[in-house]
Amino acid sequence: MQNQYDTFVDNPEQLAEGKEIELEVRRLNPGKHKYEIKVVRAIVARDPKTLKGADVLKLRLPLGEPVPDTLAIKIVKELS
Amino acid sequence: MAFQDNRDFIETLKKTGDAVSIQREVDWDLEAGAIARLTNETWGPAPFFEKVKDYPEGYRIFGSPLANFRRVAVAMGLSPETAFPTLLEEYTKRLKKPVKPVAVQKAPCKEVVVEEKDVDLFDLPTPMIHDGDGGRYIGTWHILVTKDPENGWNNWGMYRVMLYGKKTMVGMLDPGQQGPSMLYEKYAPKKKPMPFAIAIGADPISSFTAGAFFGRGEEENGFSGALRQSPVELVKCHSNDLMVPAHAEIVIEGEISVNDPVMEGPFGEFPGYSASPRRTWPAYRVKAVTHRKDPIMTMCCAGFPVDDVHIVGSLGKTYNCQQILQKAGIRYTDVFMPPYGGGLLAIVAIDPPNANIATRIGHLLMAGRIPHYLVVVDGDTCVYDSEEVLHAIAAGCHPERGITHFNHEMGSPLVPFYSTREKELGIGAKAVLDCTFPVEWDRGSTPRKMNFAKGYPEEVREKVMKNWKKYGFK
Repeated sequence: MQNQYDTFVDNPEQLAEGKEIELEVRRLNPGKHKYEIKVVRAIVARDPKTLKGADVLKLRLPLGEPVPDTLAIKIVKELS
Repeated sequence: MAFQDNRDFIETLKKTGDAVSIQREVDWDLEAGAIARLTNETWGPAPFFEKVKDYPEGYRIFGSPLANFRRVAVAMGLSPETAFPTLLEEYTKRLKKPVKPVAVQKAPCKEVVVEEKDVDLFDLPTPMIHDGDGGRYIGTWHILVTKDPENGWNNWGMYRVMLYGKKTMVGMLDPGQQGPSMLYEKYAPKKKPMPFAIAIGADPISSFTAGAFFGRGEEENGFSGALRQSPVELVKCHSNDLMVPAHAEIVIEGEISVNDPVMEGPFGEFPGYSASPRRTWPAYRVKAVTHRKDPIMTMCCAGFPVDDVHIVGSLGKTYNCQQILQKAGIRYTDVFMPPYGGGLLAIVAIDPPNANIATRIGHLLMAGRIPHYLVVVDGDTCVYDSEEVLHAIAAGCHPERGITHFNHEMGSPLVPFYSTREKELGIGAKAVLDCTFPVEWDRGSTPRKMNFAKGYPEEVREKVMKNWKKYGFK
């Protein structure tokens, strides 16, 4: 089953694709730990086909507005 | 009789029709928040969620504890029908004699003790209150207890706190506020973390005083005792020396350091918007959690008026404004910070007006964070009637010389109309709307108010009132 995450971004266009980046994500899987926050090293991609076995990453703007596009994310390492 | 805890208060509210016990399972993820929001916006009863999705039986959420004046009156042991001016009079009278708290050894808040290694904050039924919030807010109706390390002053404050990780929370800690100022001024220069305790679900008046504004060095616990007319029972925390209300539902203990920032926000706040973007604030690192066996989380669903913050602010800050005006010898007939003003608006009625009185009141009230807009009206205008006040602005305030701007004032990141830069720097601007006619206008040229009360002689008014039904009106 794919895990679901989201992250807050100032500008969705500036989110770097295809390389490892440090990102703060919220876990969105149902259950009592939903919205737990982790800092991770991850690779993100706009096209899920380019990132095998990836999970789902949603985006929100700084004041919480959801961004319609859904991205793919592969978490390499949890940092916190 | 004072409520010793939130449980007695909830039971009483159910009897007066001011709380609804919800037996159906409710989702902590937005559903509980949406219900509380709708009850707030309709001035409805407080929702008590008895079954919360994903949590054990007995873990409950109490929403909107004091989101209207009826519930404040009940909390003070008065009739729910008590009108605001009477409530204010009683509030003012009781605050004159603070009642010191008493220390106890055993406390309900310690029925369950969770040591640091076992702490998982997500074990508590914390709601996701609004769509788009930065996280689940565990501290929206709580008491943040901190202590001045130099003079021993115990401060109670209510500053929003968000769950971050299993043992980490984060919240806005604005240096301009009393509790946070201890961190920046007293602990950070000595490179020490600040011990904290968060008490959730204390008796309703103790939570009220944490959210109200009292002076630096003054202890809210004594004012709680005064308003309750009975001392608050305090108990020492499990892992530090701070004292917390013994009858609280949940106590979270730990340390805050300025060198340990994590991201927080956004959050839908009391001015009616989500307006302060996600940014870093010092983390709360949790060392222990204690709670009652079946803990009741409390939630203030802040946002568009009305919510608990508006009600506490309306009563508490109207009192603050009143004290400031009285100490300065200002002749006023009424003062009110209406809940619909979102904490940003004060209305003062004066009678008779004198030269530049509106500006003088502005200088007095704008010095702190209290209002951003001050409306000064004549003594004939009812400060509690929003239509009368709006009419006074439209018909009495000169669009140019009736408005005085105060620049370079203290702002707040929560205020929606400030730019991102102003929010970052905490600077702002304020304005006085003088709706009184200038004193230099002679009597012959000063407009006469033309309403039923002022536009007709007394004998005509009496005749009309006496015959009202005879005219065919109901």
